[in-house]
Amino acid sequence: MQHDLSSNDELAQNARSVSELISDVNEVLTREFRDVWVYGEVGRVSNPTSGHCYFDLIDDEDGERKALSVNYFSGVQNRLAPKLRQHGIEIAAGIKVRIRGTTNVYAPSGKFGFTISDIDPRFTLGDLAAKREEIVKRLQQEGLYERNRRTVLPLVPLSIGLVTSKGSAAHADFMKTLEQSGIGFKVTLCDVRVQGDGSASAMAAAVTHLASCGVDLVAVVRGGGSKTDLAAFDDESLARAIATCDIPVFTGIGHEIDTSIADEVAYSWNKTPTACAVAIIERVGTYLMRVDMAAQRLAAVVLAALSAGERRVADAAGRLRTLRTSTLNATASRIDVLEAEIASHDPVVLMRRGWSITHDANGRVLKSIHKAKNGAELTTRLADGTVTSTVRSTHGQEEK
Amino acid sequence: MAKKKSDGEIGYEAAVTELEEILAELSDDDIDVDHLAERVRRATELVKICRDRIAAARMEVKEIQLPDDAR
Repeated sequence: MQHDLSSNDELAQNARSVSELISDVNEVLTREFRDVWVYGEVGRVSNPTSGHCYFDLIDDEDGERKALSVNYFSGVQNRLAPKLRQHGIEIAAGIKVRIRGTTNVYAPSGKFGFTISDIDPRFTLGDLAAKREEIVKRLQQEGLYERNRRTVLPLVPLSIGLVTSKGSAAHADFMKTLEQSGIGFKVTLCDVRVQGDGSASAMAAAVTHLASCGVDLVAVVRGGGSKTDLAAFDDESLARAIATCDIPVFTGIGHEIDTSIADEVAYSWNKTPTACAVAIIERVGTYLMRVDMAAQRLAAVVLAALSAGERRVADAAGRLRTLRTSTLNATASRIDVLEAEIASHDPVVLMRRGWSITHDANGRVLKSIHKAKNGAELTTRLADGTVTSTVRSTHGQEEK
Repeated sequence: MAKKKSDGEIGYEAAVTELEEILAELSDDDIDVDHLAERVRRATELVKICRDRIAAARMEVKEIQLPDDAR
């Protein structure tokens, strides 16, 4: 009994209250596990209105899930924000992180936790890059990496299947750019989540579904965001849907730094939703330009043909005019010659020069002295009248 | 020569190819006037078909839902 009593006394002396125990544990934890680094995958994240952030850091290295409750207080968030922003990282479910901090037991709940003091962005980036590399490698091995780029883009892709979040800035920018082109595009929208849980598989399903609706191409657009916001675009299911799509896929994902796997396997990748719309407009614009050039050449050919015809008519008219003038001139000069000839033979003209014509009594022209008998009456015609005379004698030429 | 279809269904590639073929033909100096007029009429028609179908139509937007099994 004595022993028991002394034991009880000892127990009573050594027993701690809950507060004491937690305090002692925390003292050990602070001493032994201060500023330790730990890595794992971010699980469920909670962002209450207080501004603090709480999440589970998990791993299942040996197939059994282990979790650590992590406190990411607002003061630390503000201090680390520039560094994380610079690397495009945000704490979100699914990303791998390596964090530094201190372990402790939270007295009010007795919950063991970890309070962050620093985050190593290189670890997250490295993990994302490694995951990405694995997916790309698999797609290449299966011959899918280049597959979508081998599809045929119609000469005039007017029918567009659009995968985006309805009402987002990306949606508005894309539609506004298409509208401003003045081209009669026909857009079929499939409204999906473009960030967070299930977004990658929803976008993948939308790409596949739109492709079966008879559109000319599928455009996948969303605005800018952190690397972790855009994690869905590095997801294998979306990459596979794009790669195996039988029609060209255009992406317009607002990356700040590099491209996603979705971009890499797409037919055409563009830095923003607006640039994506512009790329589609340019394709149609190239065709319109070809038609316009043909129309201009057509106008030139028609003008050339008309002016050649006009020239031929003008030439013919000129030749006709020349011909007419020369013919008339020739005719006129022939008439002049004739006129002169006629004039030279006109008896009146000759008579003016002193010639006369003598007729016998019978009106016959007297051409020989042998026809003029003495006593016969002759009538001589002069230029200005006639003279009547009687023949007294005749003399031949030789008698002169 | 590009495959001819009725104007209502002529494809964009066929239309522009036919147009360019007509232009090549018209550039030949020996083309007779009657033929020229007929070819110019066809070319003008093709230009109109291409432009009207692309630029004269208004933009249309419709929304579709994913089938239940794809959500």
